[in-house]
Amino acid sequence: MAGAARVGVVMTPERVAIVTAQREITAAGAGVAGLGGMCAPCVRVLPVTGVAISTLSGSFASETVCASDEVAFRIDELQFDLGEGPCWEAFASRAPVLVPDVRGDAHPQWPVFGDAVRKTAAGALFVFPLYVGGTGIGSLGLYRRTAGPLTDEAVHDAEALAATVAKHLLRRILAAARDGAAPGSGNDPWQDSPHDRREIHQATGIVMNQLDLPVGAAFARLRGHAFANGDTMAEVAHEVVTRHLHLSS
Amino acid sequence: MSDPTREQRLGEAFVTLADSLVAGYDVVELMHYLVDVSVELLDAAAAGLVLADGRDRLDVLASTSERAQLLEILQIRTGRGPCLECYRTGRAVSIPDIAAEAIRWPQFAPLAAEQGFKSVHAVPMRLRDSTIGALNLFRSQPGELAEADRRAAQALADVATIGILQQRATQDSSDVNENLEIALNSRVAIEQAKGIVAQQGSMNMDAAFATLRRYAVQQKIPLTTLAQQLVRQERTADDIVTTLGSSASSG
Repeated sequence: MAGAARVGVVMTPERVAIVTAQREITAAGAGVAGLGGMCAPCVRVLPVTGVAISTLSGSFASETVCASDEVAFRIDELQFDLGEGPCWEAFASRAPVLVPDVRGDAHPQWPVFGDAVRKTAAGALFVFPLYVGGTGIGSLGLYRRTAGPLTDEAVHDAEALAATVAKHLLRRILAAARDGAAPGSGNDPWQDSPHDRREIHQATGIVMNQLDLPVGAAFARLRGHAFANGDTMAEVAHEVVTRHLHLSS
Repeated sequence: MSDPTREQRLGEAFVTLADSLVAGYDVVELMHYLVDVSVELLDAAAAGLVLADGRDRLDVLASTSERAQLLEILQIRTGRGPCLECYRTGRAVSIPDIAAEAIRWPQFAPLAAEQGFKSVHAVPMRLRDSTIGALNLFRSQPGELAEADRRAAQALADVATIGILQQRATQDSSDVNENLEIALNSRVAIEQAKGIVAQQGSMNMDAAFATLRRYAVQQKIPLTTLAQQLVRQERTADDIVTTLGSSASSG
């Protein structure tokens, strides 16, 4: 419960900006176009450098819905490729994961990602789970170039934006499923996402058939190959799909 | 006299709300309609609607202006104010003179004044024992809302409440979870199945997709089901490719 000191805060231009951002997220969610418009309002009103919004489900169906810049996308991609990181932690715990100093702190919960993320431009990571009631959808990942904590106010704002994103993202995904939107068709929520991981899934299928492996093992083979060679899974998958790479049994 | 009377328009509003209960509709759109029609037909300058989720947390679902939205957010954040009281007690709360309530609501009262609101009337969204939210009418002049308007506001809120509760009953969260899971995973399964068929039949992804679709139609099974069977290795790609592979690659 906020005290009297909160009242002045409520009426600041920043507060109006948050409400405006929520409206824009709602509009992006309601639009017939892709969901790319959900990121920009978050970057504008939160004290961060970049934002990525992702769906998380099992270990395969994770996807970046939108990312405000390449670093934000890369942070997401690393976590999907490695299967660990603060987005998974936030999703599992249903609570924000705040990493004010990416380079300084030790990260025993996700050592491999902790190592990899130091090579990006991110100095701080703040990840918020996307939930509507008991239904988990994904995560809202924020990064800032400089290290340092997020203020309580900014955490509160980010949570408010995450709630709006979650609501409209869920609505959109369910509506697309109900209308039988084929992947890539007009009302597919991912239609204009430049970050889709379709080739990774296609490559998984190829490896399943090639090596007679169950889906999880085939995915793990791709992941292992990428990790061993310092490539992204998307790069390895592209090589597999274009038949330049054959993983051997 | 050709303009419809207020009673006629109110009647139309009830029909619109009631219609939305039957067909598949969007709760958010319904809430926007409710606040818009309240301001249009009742003696209010602005309206806001707060709704609780399953865990008793309130959210502003719709409002007719930024001013009303800010007041609702303030009340939710501080946990105090006429709309919150209405939600908690499940009873209408009428505040004819907001300025007189500065001691009771030291945060809400000055902000309301700043936004130009002098009085507020909140009606609960309630069905029997279950209160799910509140519809709040903000007015720019002091005084009680007229009895006819109060009754109309409550009636509009009642119809919308039934709609929301009905929707919640038919679409509980386990149902939503399942649909989300299917929606997210079916996209993945189709891509994986394309890879399996492409490898089996030495074809590209487009041809593999065409093959999958043709086979699904021929066998009268949904494409998603076929894809999932392939991914779970409950069905081999061999059958599909030998049945259709040549026609897909030549067509």
